[in-house]
Amino acid sequence: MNDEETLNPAQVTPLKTISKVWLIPIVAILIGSWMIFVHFNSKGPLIRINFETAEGIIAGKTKIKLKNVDVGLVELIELSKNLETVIITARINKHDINLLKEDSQFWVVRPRIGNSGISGLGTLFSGAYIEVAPGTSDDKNSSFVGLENEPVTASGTKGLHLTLESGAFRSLNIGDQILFHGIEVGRIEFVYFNPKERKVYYDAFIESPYDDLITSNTKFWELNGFEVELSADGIQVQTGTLETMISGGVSFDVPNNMPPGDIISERKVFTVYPSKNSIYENQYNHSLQFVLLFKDSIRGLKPGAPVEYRGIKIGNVTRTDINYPEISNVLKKDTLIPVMINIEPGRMGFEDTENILPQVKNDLSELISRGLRGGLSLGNLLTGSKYIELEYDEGVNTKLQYFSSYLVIPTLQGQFIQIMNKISKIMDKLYSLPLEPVISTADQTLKQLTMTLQEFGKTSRQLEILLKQSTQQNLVASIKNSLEAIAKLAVDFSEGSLTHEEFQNTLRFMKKTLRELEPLLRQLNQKPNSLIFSSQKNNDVEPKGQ
Amino acid sequence: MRKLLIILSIFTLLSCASSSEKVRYYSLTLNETPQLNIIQSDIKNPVIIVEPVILARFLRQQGLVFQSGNYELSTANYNRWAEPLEELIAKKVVQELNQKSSRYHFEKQSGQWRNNVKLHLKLEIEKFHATDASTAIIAGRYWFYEKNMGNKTPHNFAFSKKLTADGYLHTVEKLAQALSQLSEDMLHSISKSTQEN
Repeated sequence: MNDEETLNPAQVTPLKTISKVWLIPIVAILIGSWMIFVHFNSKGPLIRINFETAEGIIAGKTKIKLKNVDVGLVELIELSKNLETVIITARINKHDINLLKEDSQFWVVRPRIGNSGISGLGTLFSGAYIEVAPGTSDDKNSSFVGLENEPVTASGTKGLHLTLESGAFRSLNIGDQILFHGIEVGRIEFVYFNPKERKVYYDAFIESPYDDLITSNTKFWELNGFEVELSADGIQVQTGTLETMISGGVSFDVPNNMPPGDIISERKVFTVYPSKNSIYENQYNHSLQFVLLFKDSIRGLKPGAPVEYRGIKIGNVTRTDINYPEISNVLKKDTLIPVMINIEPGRMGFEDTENILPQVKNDLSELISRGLRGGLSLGNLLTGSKYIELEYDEGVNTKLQYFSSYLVIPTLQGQFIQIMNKISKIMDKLYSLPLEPVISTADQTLKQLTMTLQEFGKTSRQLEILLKQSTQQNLVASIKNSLEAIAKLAVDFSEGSLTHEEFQNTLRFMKKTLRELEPLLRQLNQKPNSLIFSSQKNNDVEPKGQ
Repeated sequence: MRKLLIILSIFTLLSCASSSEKVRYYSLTLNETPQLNIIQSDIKNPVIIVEPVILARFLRQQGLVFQSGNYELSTANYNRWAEPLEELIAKKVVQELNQKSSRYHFEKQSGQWRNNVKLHLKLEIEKFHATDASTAIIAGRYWFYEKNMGNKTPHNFAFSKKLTADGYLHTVEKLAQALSQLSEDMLHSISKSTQEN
């Protein structure tokens, strides 16, 4: 062997391809990337909800639910920049992204006690959660303002939204019922007070299919819970539901004397009347104003008091104040007190339209000139309230007058005042009568009459005595005769007289005979046939001596 | 035929008729001298009127009564009172009282004594008969009273006489003696009441 054999140098051939070892990390990287991708891809969108408070909400724990199904989770809770609200960042599940409409509503579900009852008791154990009500809008949104309370009407509920306005002192609340014939058909969703108009506006929602009940002639009125009506038929008491009695509510209907009207399909403003009866008082839209000028006191007459003609209401009193330029000093002796009234042509049989007003005004002017007058009448003896009554003063023609550009209806004294005046006149006449000489004359006459009666009494007593005596005398004579006859009869039967002796003898004989018959009768009593068949004769039991 | 029947009936009746025993009649005052009618003006003493005697019911019959045992009474058929017993008793009592009293005059009738009558005597007899104990008993009560005064104080009495012989005659004698004793008792009580007044 040769040491000197040289080794062939190694031939280094560079790799032309990547080593298969790299497959492992590559696969690992791919898998990891895929997982990361899937993770981020499956995440739903983040949304931001503004609440006033984050009470009961915990990041990473509080869920967002729809109909008790988890649709999201709160991830972050932070204060807003102005520190007035709380911003809750939540992630909605990817497959629930359709819930995020522009009008979707979010609110926190907690235990609550309200007019409609107790809700959210389950959250005592599970903790509060955020409920979502998906909207119906086509636009999507990711930033929302959360509601502090559950919405009265769920978003997307079919129905009709209305605006109700009320100038009443008492206001309705969110959630108050809207009833139709006692059935709940809607609720008050929102309350807004306009200080400039001094009116309260309510956003009302009428659920379908009851929204078809709302027509152009529908009237709304407040339910006071308890209504008492006193009429000629007696006392009527009406109550609402328990909820309306506690918290109040609104009812609606078309008045009896009005046609149904056209169905409303979009938001419209309706007035809320204070009561059902007030609907009929304010159902006419057009009226004419007149003024009555009174010389007498108008105490008891208030705005709203009816104006009647022969018992039919044709209007009402609108003003009883004295804020007119014509009146500078009410204390002046000849100042007349103005009362403004509304006369509604609709109540008089005319159409309730604006076109009819001039014609009605002309007619009334003609009637006024022929004697139509107004007067105060007592409406209620208990309360002393008054009303205006129109009547005719026959045979009187008057020139038309105006007060503060309003046509004046001349006045008559009210019936009550007329009666009082008559009584006053009678009293004056009585007072003016010369009563003292009359009284003194009457007194003397009475005294003489008394004396005469006394004399008459004496005379009648004497006459009575005389009559008695004569009667007695006759009676005495009659009795005397009777007694004499009795005495004579008694003498005939008295002891010693023949009749008496014979009577006595007869009695003795009868006694003796009966005594004789006594043993026979005893025998026959014991043995009836002893007359024929002799009975054994028993000897008498003889007493024995000692 | 009819005549024959009538005759036969008469004979039948006659044959059935029995002879009746002899009936005896008794009086209480036969041995007394009857009083002559006295005129009012002759009498100076106060008069006491003897009212009609009231008898117990069982005594109001003609036959004399006999008591057997404590509860049985029998009436004699053949021994009878000659007059009504109440009259006999009244007569006897008046006789006895007049005989024994010098202060008063007793009368049965009040007809002519209208002005002089002081008192009235009322007598009720409850027992007036013989018993099987060989006694003759009278019992009852009496009282004196002034008319229109109303004061009546009754006095009860009961007298018993032993029978020493058989028969009703002896009984009547004893009853008469008992009445005499009764009259003495009456006088005693009236004098006593007079003394008290």
